[in-house]
Amino acid sequence: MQFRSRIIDMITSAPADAIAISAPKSKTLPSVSYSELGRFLGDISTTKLMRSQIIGIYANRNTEAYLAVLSAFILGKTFVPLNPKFPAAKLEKIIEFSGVDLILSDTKSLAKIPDFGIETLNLSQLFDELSSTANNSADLKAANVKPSDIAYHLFTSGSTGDPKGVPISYSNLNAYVTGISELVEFGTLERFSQFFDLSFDLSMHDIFVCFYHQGTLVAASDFDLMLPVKYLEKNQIDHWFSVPVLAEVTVRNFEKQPTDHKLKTALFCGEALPVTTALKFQKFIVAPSGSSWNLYGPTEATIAFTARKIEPLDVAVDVFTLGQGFGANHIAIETKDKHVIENLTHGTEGELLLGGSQIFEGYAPQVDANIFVNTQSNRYYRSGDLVRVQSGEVCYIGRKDSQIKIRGHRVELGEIEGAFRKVTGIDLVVAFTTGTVLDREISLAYQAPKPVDALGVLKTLLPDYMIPSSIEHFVQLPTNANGKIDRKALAAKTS
Amino acid sequence: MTTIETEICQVVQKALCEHLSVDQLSASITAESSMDNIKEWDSLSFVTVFFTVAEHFELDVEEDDAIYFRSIDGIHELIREIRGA
Repeated sequence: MQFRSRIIDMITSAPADAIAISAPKSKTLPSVSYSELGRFLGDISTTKLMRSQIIGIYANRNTEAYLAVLSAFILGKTFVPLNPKFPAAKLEKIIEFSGVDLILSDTKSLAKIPDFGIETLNLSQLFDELSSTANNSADLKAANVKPSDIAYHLFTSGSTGDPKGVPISYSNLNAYVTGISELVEFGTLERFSQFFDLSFDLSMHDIFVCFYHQGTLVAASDFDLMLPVKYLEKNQIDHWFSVPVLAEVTVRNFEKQPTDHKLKTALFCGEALPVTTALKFQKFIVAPSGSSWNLYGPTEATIAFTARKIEPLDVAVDVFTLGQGFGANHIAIETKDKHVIENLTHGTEGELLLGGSQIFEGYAPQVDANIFVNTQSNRYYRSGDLVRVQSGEVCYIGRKDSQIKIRGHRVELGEIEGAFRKVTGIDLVVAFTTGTVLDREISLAYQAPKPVDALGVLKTLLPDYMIPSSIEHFVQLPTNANGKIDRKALAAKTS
Repeated sequence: MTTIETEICQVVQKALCEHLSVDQLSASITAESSMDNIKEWDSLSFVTVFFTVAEHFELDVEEDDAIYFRSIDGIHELIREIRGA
């Protein structure tokens, strides 16, 4: 596959002292050169990893996490991010559903890893052993994989209360990396930001696009996310990829602490991109010769699927359109009366359908849902997003279901309601959101004779970004004229 | 609360209110306040708190000091360290 062989070529042909990974705040592995990386990966097949099929990675936004991803990639194995920030109960489900048989961890996380009953290796130790050998990185070879073999298995929020597994094949990943690299101009030996947790599929863009271009991947610490201007200036970042809310933090940071440093490219994905934020970001931080893009795509369609270039004249709209499919990606729309329109014309409205080689083959474990639509010539994935075509571009209208985005994370409100029911035994509960795309918060309201204290237990079941900012008790929940729970009234009461 | 703690609380409260253009927050800022229990003190308002506090107390801060700006207690600790008190 094109992207696998090219990444190997990039690692073996890089100048010996070129830096592959930079994690300035790391105490164990602050930086790894391409020659060290080549030696490490060249010997990785001699380790226990070779006998594993599904590798869990219990590390996040650091050198060890990237080395673990690249190890699985070279060996042609499947990797499963196990975010150390997630509650143990959620990770146990992920391990059970994906069949993880070996875990790689960094030294820091190893000290607090729950007992999953699975062999766990310290990746920093493994790196020290392998990178100091006399092995020549020119010997580095990737194991053969079939296009349908699974590269990574991610888990998103599921409305049933259990995480939903999305396996992405090597072929899916190949289509994304080559497609985005044709669209956006990335040079070699340039420096790439890394803001996303490994459990968030946008991190796969950071890692694979960076090494596809022989770049330096620069890990951002939690505090770099709060003061991003210093991060990009100190680390001389060339290519930026984040959720829109981080662009807004950066704009505010820049207004207090300007910098002359300029980016070559800026990409945003994960939720709606406000025009004012994007244009300020572009003006302050992107070089005049550079480019900025709004990307869109669900995890099932591998990282991002459509793109819209940001132009300075985009002032007339509130948020950016989703643009058009890039690479070999194609889109269609299923209208309200169930017609699939493949030749899109101005005004066509309905559910966005995504087709092409970035689309996954189905959930694992299987979910009983009608997620694909077949036409005579194509198979499409139902995105669940409602859109309208305007002047050849796709404009987002809303969701078909109760799925929302919080700081780019996909959240099924039903999962939060399910967790609350499980904890309290109270059936009448509703999760809803307040605020705008930049400050959106989850609230929960429930009906019971007396208030209950559920927050502590919810925190053991749900990741931080899914914890409601307020939990309101009602003896009687407000209802609308149809007798349904009135979410608008609830939002007004709690905001 | 000591005088300095009271002053830190007032500066953070003012910074957050100005940042959000509101007269009051969902809860008053106290010595126990932090990003974990004040919903308005989030990643978006962090920059405002960081620079407003640094300017008010004339602190020469580096970005590595950001860790202190997650809570009133942290800010107090940083001021004590810098002033050597």
